[in-house]
Amino acid sequence: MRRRVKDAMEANETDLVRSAMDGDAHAFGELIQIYDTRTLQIAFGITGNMADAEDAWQDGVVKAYTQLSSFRMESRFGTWLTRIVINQALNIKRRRKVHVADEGDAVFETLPSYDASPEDILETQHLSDHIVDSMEALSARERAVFVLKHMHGFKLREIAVMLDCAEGTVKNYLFRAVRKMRTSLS
Amino acid sequence: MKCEYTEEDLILLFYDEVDASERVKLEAHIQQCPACRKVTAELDALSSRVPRRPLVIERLRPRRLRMVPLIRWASVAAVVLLAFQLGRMMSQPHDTGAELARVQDVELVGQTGLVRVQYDAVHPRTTEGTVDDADMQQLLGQALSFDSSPLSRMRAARALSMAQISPNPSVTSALEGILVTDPNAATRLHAMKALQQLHETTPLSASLRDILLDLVVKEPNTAIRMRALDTLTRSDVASMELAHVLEVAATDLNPHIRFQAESALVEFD
Repeated sequence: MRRRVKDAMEANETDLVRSAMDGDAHAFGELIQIYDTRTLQIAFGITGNMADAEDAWQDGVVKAYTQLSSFRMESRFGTWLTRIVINQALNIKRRRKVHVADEGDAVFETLPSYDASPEDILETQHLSDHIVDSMEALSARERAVFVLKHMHGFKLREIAVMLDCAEGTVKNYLFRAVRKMRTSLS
Repeated sequence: MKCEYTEEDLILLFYDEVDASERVKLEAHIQQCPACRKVTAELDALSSRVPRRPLVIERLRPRRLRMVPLIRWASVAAVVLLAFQLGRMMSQPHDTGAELARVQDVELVGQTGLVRVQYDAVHPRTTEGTVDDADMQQLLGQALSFDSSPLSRMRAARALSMAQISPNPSVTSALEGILVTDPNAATRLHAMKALQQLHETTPLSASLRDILLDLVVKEPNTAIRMRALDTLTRSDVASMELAHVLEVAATDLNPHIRFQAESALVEFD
């Protein structure tokens, strides 16, 4: 049953991609909406601050729109879009040597549950700041792999497609990232 | 005794990147090997420090406003959920006038504006008709209200978003329920479109207004936030609550929403 639903959703997505490639901007908009939260979360994970994540995401969407004719449908549209957004995020990260967001910005935040006590919220905030600091020790690519694997649960082969590199290379980034994170959080 | 496994093997096991037979061997080995147990424990500790789920992004907004919408959201969500459940109870088979038991599947027929709904009565049945038909809308509302599959809910919401919806409390209640509870953003967006279209000509209900106020602040999907704000600002109901939400929306990630909110705030002044 679950597979049938998945197949039907993929078929729906394929229809949208075809319409978008035929110039239907509305269909492109629907495709972007399917993946906007995920791609923005990933960009946020890589850049570490919302302003850069937003820039990366917007640049990625514009690039996807202008390069849609080059999409060969060899992978899911979401994988292709995520790859573009990741590249934009990595470029921004390299260019800016990203800063840790200051107190006035939204940083890595976990939304407190509705019944969270003020102490819980403080705890969450403290934890988030700690994670931000720890991830600063990772290189941009290590960070991308860690976010995609640890937080989003993608398979290594999917990450290899997104980062356009060999699966073995992804493994090495993951090993290094995990070692660094264990060290800095211990 | 020298351990035959490396830290890398344990990391791959931790991230479920080994095949089943290798997993069995590794897990048996870990039971016997203190060094590997220590690494595994450290990896577990890493997961407790850095949760293995996507980062929840809270949009930029002034800290002082932060908790207010959350508290209000909780109460509105509770009310809507209650209405949603009541709607489900009210629309059980004995109330529908038909022998409807459960909607099994919804299918849009190409671009024809026709929709095909398969449902169980005494035996499974299929009916087909235009989405503008009031009975069909009632059936689509059932598809939203019952425990349908995610795909059926998405298609039902999409069909309703293309319809000229006749005022029908059970359909609007089901759409509002979907807008608040459905995990699929595309389904929520279709429900938003349907409700937006419905309220182009009719005034906003109090329940939908409260939902929209919260969506502008809380909804992660940009298109839904945009439509929620658009529907609210067109409703001509000026209130301190709306002004407050507009202030938050003026700091939204999306430039269109910021512009829309700032324009509406100027009109407030």
